[in-house]
Amino acid sequence: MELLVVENAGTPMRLVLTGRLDAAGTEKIEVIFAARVRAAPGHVLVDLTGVGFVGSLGIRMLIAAARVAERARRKFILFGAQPAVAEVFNTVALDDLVPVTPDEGTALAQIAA
Amino acid sequence: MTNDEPEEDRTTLRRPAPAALAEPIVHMLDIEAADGQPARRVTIGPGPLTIGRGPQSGLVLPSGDVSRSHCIVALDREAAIVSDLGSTNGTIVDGLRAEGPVRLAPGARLTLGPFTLVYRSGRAADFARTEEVEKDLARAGRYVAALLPPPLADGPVRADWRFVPSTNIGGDGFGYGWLDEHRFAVWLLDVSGHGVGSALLAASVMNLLRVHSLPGTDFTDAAAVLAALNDRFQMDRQGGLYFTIWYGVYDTRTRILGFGCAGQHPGFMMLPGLATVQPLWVKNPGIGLAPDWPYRRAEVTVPPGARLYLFSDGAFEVATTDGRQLTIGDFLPVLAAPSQPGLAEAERLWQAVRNVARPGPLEDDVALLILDFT
Repeated sequence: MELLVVENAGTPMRLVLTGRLDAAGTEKIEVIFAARVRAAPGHVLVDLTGVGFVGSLGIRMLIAAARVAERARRKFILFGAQPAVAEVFNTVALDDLVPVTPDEGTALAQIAA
Repeated sequence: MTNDEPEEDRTTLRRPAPAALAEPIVHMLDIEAADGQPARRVTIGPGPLTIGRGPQSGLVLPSGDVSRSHCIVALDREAAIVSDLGSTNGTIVDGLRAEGPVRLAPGARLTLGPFTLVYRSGRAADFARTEEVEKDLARAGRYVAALLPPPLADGPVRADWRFVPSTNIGGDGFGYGWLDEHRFAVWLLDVSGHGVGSALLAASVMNLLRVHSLPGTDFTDAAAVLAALNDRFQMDRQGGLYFTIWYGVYDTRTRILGFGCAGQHPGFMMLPGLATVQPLWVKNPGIGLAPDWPYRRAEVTVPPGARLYLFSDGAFEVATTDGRQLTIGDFLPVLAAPSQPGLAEAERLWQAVRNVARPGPLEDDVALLILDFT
């Protein structure tokens, strides 16, 4: 699991995840992921287009980060989940707890709303 | 020496302290259980270790898919090198057929026929510590297994199951029992993550559900039970752990099964005479993820002869021998397949899981629970 941080002036910070968000993948990045969300200057988008699997610890990482953003009154939106990952999000009702959009454009529109 | 005596030049020679001897590195092969052979560990000594089917081999792997002289593992300073000896099926190292000598990295997986050998190296003290941890995990798994109820062979609800904890103990648990003369509760849960922490939380919840110990909670109401569990086990107060659960209550008088899911995949009902299974699912978040969540429930009528399948995600999130990662969609045809005479349904499902998964220990617990309603 790899984490890439994309920051451009005037746009929300984008955290790009690539790989499997299984136990090992989550353990590899969750501390830095949480730190990046905590330190984000504004809203946060999480790009999941390159994530093929999300396990229970990955779910926890995303929810914990969403709570951090919420406390800071910042929006935290996941986008681009692959079909298998979207199915997991639906099963665990993650999409009832954290905004999930199909693509970046929709995510940006939600932030602007 | 006194002030009157001439000073003497003294040179003190100190013999250097013996250099602390570095603990030597040991090299091992962990052979995973397969083909009726138990798991075991062998040490790679200073001399080469021949591996094959033949009795003259240093490590004998009894299978027709292993050549008589299959490969050889030799130490070269601190590294282990494996060389295939012209075997029929090849020596596979981390999924690739070895074409020449291959230097093994710690954790490298060798596949010889049906056998998987994992190369490990380290100091003896480190191995001892790892063995203790693995023993603790096994004890935790046995404790959780001891909380499981016995199968039910008679009565209006019959129950059978298979529970196979993973080597890393995954936090699965389930249970069932009569709440009163007419109502029967059943549930299956899965704690996030792996290890003793997950097993501890699983055991806590199982013990609580077994004795209906949630004050003020109507255990016949699935939504109420989920809400009470959510109130009791918020993630922030459980070391960051949460769990998913399927909980249902069957009333023999009305033949209605009221159920709720919290972050769990569906249970599945097989109706008599039909070749397909019906998902039983309600969308709710897992327990501990959202405070004060208004959990929802649903109901289904259970005709005589119906069968309910509950299983953990370890039953379908398996990696196959050709590297595919399966999903629940791959498991549903197994449920719908006809039962085999003389083979318990839970055993049939377990064998299906074991046969499709790649050799070696499964990565997650497998819990398979079948209820039959007369």
